[in-house]
Amino acid sequence: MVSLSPNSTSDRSPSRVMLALSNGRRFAKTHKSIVVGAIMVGFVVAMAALAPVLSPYSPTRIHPLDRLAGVGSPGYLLGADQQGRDILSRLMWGARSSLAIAVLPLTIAGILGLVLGSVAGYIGKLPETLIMRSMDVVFGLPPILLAIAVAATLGPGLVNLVISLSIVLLPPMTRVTFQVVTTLKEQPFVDAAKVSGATTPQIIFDQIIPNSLAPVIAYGASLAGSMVVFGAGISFIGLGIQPPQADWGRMINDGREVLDLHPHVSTLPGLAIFILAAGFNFLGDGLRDLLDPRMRM
Amino acid sequence: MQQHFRTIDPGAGKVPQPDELLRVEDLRTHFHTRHGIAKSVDGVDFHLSKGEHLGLIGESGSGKSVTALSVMRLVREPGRIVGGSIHFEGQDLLGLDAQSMRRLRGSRISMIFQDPLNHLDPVMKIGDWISETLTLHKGVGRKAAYVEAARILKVLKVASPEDVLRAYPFQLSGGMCQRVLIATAIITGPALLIADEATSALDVTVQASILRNLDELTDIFGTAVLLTTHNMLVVRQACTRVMVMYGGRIVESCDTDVLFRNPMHPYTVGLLDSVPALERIGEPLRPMAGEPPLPTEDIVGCKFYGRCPIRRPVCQEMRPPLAEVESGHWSACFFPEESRSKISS
Amino acid sequence: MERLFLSGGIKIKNLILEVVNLKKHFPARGGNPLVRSERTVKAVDGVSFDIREGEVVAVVGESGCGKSTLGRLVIRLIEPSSGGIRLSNEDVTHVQGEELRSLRLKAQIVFQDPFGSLNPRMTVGASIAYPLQVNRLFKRGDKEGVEQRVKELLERVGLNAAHAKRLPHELSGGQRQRVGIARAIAVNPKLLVLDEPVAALDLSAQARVLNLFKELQRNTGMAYLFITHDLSVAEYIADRILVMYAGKVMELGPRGGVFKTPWHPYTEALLAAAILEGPSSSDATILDGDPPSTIDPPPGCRFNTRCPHAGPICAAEEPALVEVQDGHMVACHLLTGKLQRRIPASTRIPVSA
Repeated sequence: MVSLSPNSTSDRSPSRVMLALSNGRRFAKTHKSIVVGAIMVGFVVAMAALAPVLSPYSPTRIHPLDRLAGVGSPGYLLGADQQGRDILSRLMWGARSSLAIAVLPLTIAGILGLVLGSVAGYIGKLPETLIMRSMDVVFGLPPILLAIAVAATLGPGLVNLVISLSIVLLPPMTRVTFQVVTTLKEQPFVDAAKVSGATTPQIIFDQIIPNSLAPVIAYGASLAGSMVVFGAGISFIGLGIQPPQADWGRMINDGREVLDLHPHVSTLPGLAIFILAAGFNFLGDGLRDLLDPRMRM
Repeated sequence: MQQHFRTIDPGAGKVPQPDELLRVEDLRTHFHTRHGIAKSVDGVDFHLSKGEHLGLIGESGSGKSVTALSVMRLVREPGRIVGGSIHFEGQDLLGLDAQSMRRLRGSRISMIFQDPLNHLDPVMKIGDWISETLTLHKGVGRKAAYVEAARILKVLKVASPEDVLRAYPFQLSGGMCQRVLIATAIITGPALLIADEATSALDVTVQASILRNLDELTDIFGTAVLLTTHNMLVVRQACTRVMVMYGGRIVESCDTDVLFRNPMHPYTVGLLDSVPALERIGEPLRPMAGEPPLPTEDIVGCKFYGRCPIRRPVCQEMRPPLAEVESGHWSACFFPEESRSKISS
Repeated sequence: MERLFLSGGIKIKNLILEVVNLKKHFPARGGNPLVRSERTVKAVDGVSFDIREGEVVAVVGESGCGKSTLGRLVIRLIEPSSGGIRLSNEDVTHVQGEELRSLRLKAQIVFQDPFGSLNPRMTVGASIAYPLQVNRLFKRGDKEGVEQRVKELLERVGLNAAHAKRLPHELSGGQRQRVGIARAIAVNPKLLVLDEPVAALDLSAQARVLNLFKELQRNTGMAYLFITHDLSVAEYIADRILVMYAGKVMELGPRGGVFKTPWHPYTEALLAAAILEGPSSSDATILDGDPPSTIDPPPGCRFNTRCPHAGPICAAEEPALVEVQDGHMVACHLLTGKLQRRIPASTRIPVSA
């Protein structure tokens, strides 16, 4: 809506730019939460991407003399932790793992859930029973305990953390797809595809999945925030990212012992988690409203 | 040239007639949307006598429903009545406060809609639903209200009214729900009943029976009816006078049988030629070209200009006023005589 | 099995569709969920008719009479409970898989809802090309061939090549319905099932689409099964009329016969309701009450609860569909002499030249 179509670059007259700008302004006005969420998430993404260029130090480099430097002390904009590592640098590098934890499990669980939910929802009968009931079993377990159990079984590390969160996310993603698909399959255009001679896999991949994508993505975005918190929590208890790698959850844990005298060591990563999680939540809410057919004009 | 075309209220002069019930003058209801101002009702004049059945016919987007809602002052945001006046039983409805308007609704003016099930309380028995209205507006006791409700349902040819009164909405068919809503609307003896596409969702046989019984019922109560519809058949069955609406304006107004015999506006002619009718077996359909203008389009002249087969330059420059062509026959066309002869032959 | 059909399973040259004693019963939903319900909805309950090459048969009736179910059965979107369907002399009653897919090259459907029947995320061109692709009617990678065909189809339904790139929400209802028609005729079917194809359109769009149906039919010689609740539409388009009520055929005959000399009281009532002259016209043929539920329908003639002529026999015995004139069949006891007609047929359409 905001972007110009790709082939319009050559004839980009001023009026067209103005139109796009005014469209953008109107979009921002009617979809505030998307814009706010995008700015917050975008800020974190930029930090993560620019970490190699912008971070003042290596996130693991120890400066024994500058241990627990305060916020704003010379050379350490956001201070240093008790090993003398620069907090700003660690936050920037840590953003990478936090983003990975938010996005990767969602992508994996989203794709699997889309296929499983579509098959269960469209075909029904035995596939529905098998897929949905086994999802119910997983869904019945408290997600944080499940994530901890899987992470503990597989062992620590980013890859295993992503796997465990994917398992936690699979049931809700499958279930939301299933719900979307059961209403979609009643639509006349699905009947039309059937009558056109399309096979069941063709219908699922050409008709069902493209139309369930948008609501499923919106739902996924609203879960990304809690994934950030989950991931940080698991790292906090030592099952996620391993030291000395920078990670926000780990950083909170590191600052725990000095919380009374040097609160910035824990609270700054906490604030970062808050910004990213809240950003994703705004984005998810906004996308849900945007894609809600009742909101369309 | 210009003073020939005076916008005059159809059917009556400026002096209120003794039997006049409703007078709408230059009504304008606009919707402020993202795409601009939609002039859904763009200067509408009409009047309604006591006990008269007036039809308002138009396609979707013509503004007929918004006109009906405007009279009830039930236009929702972002819509607003921006101009004109509505006089009902001598008082100016647009000047009334919300409280008085609420008291008027349901007692002096009632309304029925297309989807009856959405307008009934799903957890309330039909009998309680109907009698509540009567108790509220007339202070009648529950028992007496039940008796009255059963009496009205009987007129509406409900075989066993007592059973219906004991039922919940979901146990009834669409036709029965509409009968219940009609009973609710008329039980207080209103002076005006507004029916907004009230029979459009029903089957033809059910529709015919409801329209006939509605006719009987309004005769008993002396209620006038303003009926909006897109269906020629409904107007034919239920209305003595009809107005054709297009692009938020009334383009033609006359007695119902005159409209079908001798339409005086090119849009009406086009509409009649678009509808297959059992009385005109063998005649081909001659559909109008093009689409109606968007309500947000700013059109100075005639709204039908873009699709009109007999258009001339003047039609684009000046809004043709609704003027009396024959006695009681009003048309908003500069060339009403040509409409019939030139188009349909 | 083959003997089920009137044709005896023999090839009849210009027979497109033959439907014999077709039934579709659904288990009734609702009621007490704890008690297993034994009730069934008899949506279509023993319907027989046929369609010849290039013929238009209109199925008329009120909502819930089973006309849409009949259309979906013929196109085999749902499977019949019993009875038989033959399409171009092939038994398709219970075909599955590849056979079912090849049926779709012969019979297509246009749906009522022009908004829901197009995939909102597919361009118009992609929607029309879809049946060509899934049926591999063009070689893989023959993009130009497909595009050419799509353009041709768009032009046939009164649109143009520029519409191919549009998305459904950019089109008006009438235009969308044209796209649905283009998609349906893409595979050159011999039979088109039209399920209330103009009911959701505005009056002027309705007339234009009806004229398009007429023109297409003239040019291609397709046969139509035209399902509608609107008698005047049926009159305008059809060669033969099939009147349905509560899952049963009440009357079936040539258009002129059914409209000018209706035999069945229900047909009379339908016509009367569609042609009423004014507020105070004759009351005799206006029906009271509602159509009966197809869950456990009344015994005897389905229409007996509303019929102005009904006698004791009508509630006891189901009337058979008998031929009263050449090709004109009616299911009513009045005609088999079991019941005296008390009121003469009051409404006849004035025969206009």
